[in-house]
Amino acid sequence: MTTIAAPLALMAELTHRCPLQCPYCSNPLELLKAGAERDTKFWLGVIDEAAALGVLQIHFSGGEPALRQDLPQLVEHATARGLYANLITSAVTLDESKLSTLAQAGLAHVQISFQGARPQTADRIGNYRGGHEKKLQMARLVTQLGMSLTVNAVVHRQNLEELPAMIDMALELDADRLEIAHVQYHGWALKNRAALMPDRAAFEAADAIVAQKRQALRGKLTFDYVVPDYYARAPKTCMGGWGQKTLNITPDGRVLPCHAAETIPGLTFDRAGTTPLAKIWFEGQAFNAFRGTAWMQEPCASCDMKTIDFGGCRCQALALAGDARATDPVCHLSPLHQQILEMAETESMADERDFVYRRI
Amino acid sequence: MDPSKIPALRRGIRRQYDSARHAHVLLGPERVIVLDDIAVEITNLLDGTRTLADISSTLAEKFAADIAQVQPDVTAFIEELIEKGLATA
Repeated sequence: MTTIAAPLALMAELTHRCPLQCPYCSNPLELLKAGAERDTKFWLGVIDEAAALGVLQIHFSGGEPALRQDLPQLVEHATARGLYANLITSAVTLDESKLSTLAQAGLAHVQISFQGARPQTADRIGNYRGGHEKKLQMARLVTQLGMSLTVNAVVHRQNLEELPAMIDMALELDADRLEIAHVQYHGWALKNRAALMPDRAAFEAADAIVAQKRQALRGKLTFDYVVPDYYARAPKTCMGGWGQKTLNITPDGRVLPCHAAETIPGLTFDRAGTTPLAKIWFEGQAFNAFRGTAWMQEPCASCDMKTIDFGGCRCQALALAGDARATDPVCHLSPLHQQILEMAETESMADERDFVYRRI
Repeated sequence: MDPSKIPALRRGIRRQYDSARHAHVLLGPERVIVLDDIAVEITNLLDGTRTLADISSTLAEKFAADIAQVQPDVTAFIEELIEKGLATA
């Protein structure tokens, strides 16, 4: 039996409430209402357990985590326990006073989502008027307060032409890191796929721009790039491997190996606060379901890449192949690969422009 | 890298001791770097006042080593930190 390493990161989804309505939100279609959220005491306990377990990074996420009044208290507690505190935010509900309180509480890094480079584009995608301008203001404050800034740009057919402008925007904001993420088709994004899927030429052009800029800006701006995996040859190493690096806790306190794991039938999710976090990590049924390689079928089981990409994304295998144990169909070795590629290309030509916006 | 440059950890980057892994680590956005003994010695000297040349000579003296041997290693390590977005100079 192989040893299970301690987790490195905890994704704390404090709430599903969010003022933005991005049509590719990674939250589940069935969003939790405010009444289902756990209280401050619960999250303080989670932080204690996570630190004891060896977690080094905590990502306060959501929904919009800044809607929680106790966010500064949670950041302060996490920092005191030696966790590196990250805030994953839309920034539209922040202001100077809230940001400086968070900086004083020990917040190290703020990741702000941008839906485009032009206000008209961005505000339409997030369905929130004035959002883009507010994000720019808050981004400037983040660095003035001495925190690390990530510009998070989710790209798709309806904003991909603004990619060069988004890179310039990150530079102009003096960001430390730029995360360019092609939409991953789960949850709301799967529902809106026909309105989001880029065509192959646009994706290849974006790839070339990123490769060139990443090289030119080395040491100045760190790039993280998530490719649109329907067009990829090899699947992504989802979550750095199932149950290997990350824990995700939902607003109502269930502990998941990844944020979309609830879509997979037959998994049992333990509750933090009820079951010790260490027991959930090492022994939990959901964490062990796809840990390592023993669960694999062919062509994964005999593949040289099996300990590199772990067969790709389990949720995507379920969504596209109907079997969470199947090879992620974005892999060129999957029997479904060609079919998926053709579907992506067909959808990329679709006339569809309207979104089903994310709503609770 | 110019030896007269003053390297420092980048904004938002923290160094701390991780008692679970019994090692010093550098932490940044989506970054966890476990430091070996030499990396600990170098990062101890990234105080925003010392030049790259100062850091190399301090370490050469401390370990009674030849600076001609120390400086390339120190430079390579700091350049790697800069490339990873963990330091500036």
